[in-house]
Amino acid sequence: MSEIGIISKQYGALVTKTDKINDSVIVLKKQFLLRSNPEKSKTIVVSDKELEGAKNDMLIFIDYLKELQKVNHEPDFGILPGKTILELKKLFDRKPGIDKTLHKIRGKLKKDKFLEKEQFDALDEIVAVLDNERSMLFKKLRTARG
Amino acid sequence: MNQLIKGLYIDLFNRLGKMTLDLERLSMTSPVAAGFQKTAVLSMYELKKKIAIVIKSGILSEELFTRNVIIS
Repeated sequence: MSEIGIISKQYGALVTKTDKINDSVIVLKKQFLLRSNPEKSKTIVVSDKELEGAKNDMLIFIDYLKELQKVNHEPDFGILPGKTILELKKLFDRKPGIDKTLHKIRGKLKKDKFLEKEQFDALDEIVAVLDNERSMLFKKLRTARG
Repeated sequence: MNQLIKGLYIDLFNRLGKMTLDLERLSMTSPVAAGFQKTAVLSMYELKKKIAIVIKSGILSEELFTRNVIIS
């Protein structure tokens, strides 16, 4: 496959993943907001089906992130490109607390409990890394196309 | 910050509407031009639909979603 083909494939996979995770965070935040401010239900709506989907997607992604941190683990580059995985590992090294927070989030989602504000901050940081990498790949794609 | 983001979403929604209308009015008859017109109009309609969903969802008015709506 040509270089542009590889970048294009990586970009497509990363866009899909980033959107899916970001959408899941939005749904979980809606649940948090409605719980703390029930009056917001006039403008913010979230269905049980959306919540279930967001929880499942988030659990799968957290398990994937946890696997990444294992020594000698061979990551699935079909899910995320190598460079993105490297950036996520850098984030975990820079902020060791994130790993613990992810563990808590996993536990809460498994038990159908609500997430808390600081837990969303950790998820936002991860989404920001994915989005930043997506932007970098987009720039690369444009440059490669000349 | 949220007001600015909301404004950008609405502005983009309106611009897309105008661009689609302008493009549809153009007479593009050659196969390449007609193909471009069809694909571009379809892509703009899809983008407009996505933007409308975010605007209607109400999340643009909430600070909690600021980081997420920049990405959406």
